[in-house]
Amino acid sequence: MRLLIAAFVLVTAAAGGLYWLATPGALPADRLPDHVADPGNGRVMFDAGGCITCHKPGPDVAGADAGLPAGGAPLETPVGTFYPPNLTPDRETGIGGWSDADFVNAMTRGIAPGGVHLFPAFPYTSYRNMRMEDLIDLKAYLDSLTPVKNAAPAVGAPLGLLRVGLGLWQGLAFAEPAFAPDPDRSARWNRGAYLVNGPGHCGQCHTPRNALMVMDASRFLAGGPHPEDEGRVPSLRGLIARGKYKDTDDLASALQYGELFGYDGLSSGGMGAVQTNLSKLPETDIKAIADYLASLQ
Amino acid sequence: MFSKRLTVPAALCALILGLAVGSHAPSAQDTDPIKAREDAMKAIGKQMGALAAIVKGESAFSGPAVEQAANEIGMQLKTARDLFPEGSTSPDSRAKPEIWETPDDFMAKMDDAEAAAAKLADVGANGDEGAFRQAFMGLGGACKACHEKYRKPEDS
Repeated sequence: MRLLIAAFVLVTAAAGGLYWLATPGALPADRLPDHVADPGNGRVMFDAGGCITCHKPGPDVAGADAGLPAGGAPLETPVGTFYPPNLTPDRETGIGGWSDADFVNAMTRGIAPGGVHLFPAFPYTSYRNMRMEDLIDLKAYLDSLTPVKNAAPAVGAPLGLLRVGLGLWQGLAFAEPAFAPDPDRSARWNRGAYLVNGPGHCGQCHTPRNALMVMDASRFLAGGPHPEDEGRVPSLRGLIARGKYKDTDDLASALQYGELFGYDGLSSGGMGAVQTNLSKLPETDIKAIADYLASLQ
Repeated sequence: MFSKRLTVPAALCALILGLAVGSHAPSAQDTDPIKAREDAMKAIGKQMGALAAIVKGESAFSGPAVEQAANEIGMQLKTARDLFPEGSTSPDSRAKPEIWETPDDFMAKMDDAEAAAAKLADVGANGDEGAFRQAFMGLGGACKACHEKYRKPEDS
């Protein structure tokens, strides 16, 4: 028994040490750029990220405007059910009391105010690729919305216990290199790459994960088992070479209109909601995404 | 016509199936609801492709052609209603079990699609080119609403 206790203490201490080592610190507020927020661009980020799909109003606020990210709707994942929180500027139940720095830390480091580690069901491993200016704009857009009072339920007990390991997991996930633009490519291609790798977080479903649930960069956007549902998520590589789309314009048209134009590959597996969000983007951004995706072999 | 449609592997499968279950294999395949509804989906897809070419400006609008395509889609949808008997799924089928969990909603979505196809057929019959885009997107939207909820992604 004594041996067991000793082993437990040792393991806990080791895990604690690793946890401390692996925990990225929060970004201090004075590291934020001097930037005049543009809520209009924030709206573009909101649509590119499809925030509303997970943060849509849950059953407790069934009467709320469906376009407001009031949160609380269940999100089923293989590790359990999450309730994405309220993103409206309600000070008590939403993020109205958050500073820009709080928001940037949640989005890029997975740390909520008070140092709480966030579960990666919230795809900050993609959002960390976003520009600070875009994040500040997104916060300004969220702040411009009508506040809704709605406290999303907390995660259940088995998941709550996992939270202690999150700092470690974040250390692993953040060890992967972040997205960087390619100076040899066009501005349009880089815009598409940014939207796909950053706000669009396409890799969260289209890139398979390794045994530790970290996205496998060597199989970037190559498709894999569906993380939320049965079936598989298709590969986004070689979309034109494999005859899925005729050319870049055809792919852009598919992203813009989806099955409303008869493209029946963009409705199932959750892509229908993604495509609806994409359809709200400026056409130049949709074309940029198509340009980038078409280049993936 | 039956033999023409079969590819070599499919023919081999049919042959093996035939050897296994006797001479009823071909008719069994014809009445398999999974196969029948996949054929219906393909037939609809073919018409949707022709209509999409018009909306994308790749082919010219023709009232009679639109009417005919929309009617064909409507007819296939009507047939498809009976092709989802409870539990008719398989590991390869893209039909999700939710179809039989909320059958009323599923059938309501089928009604919506039929209504949208009928509306598009009217647009064709009236030669109303100005109303075509919206009516076509209405039909596509009805397809999407059902597929979002009740169809698994294609394995590719």
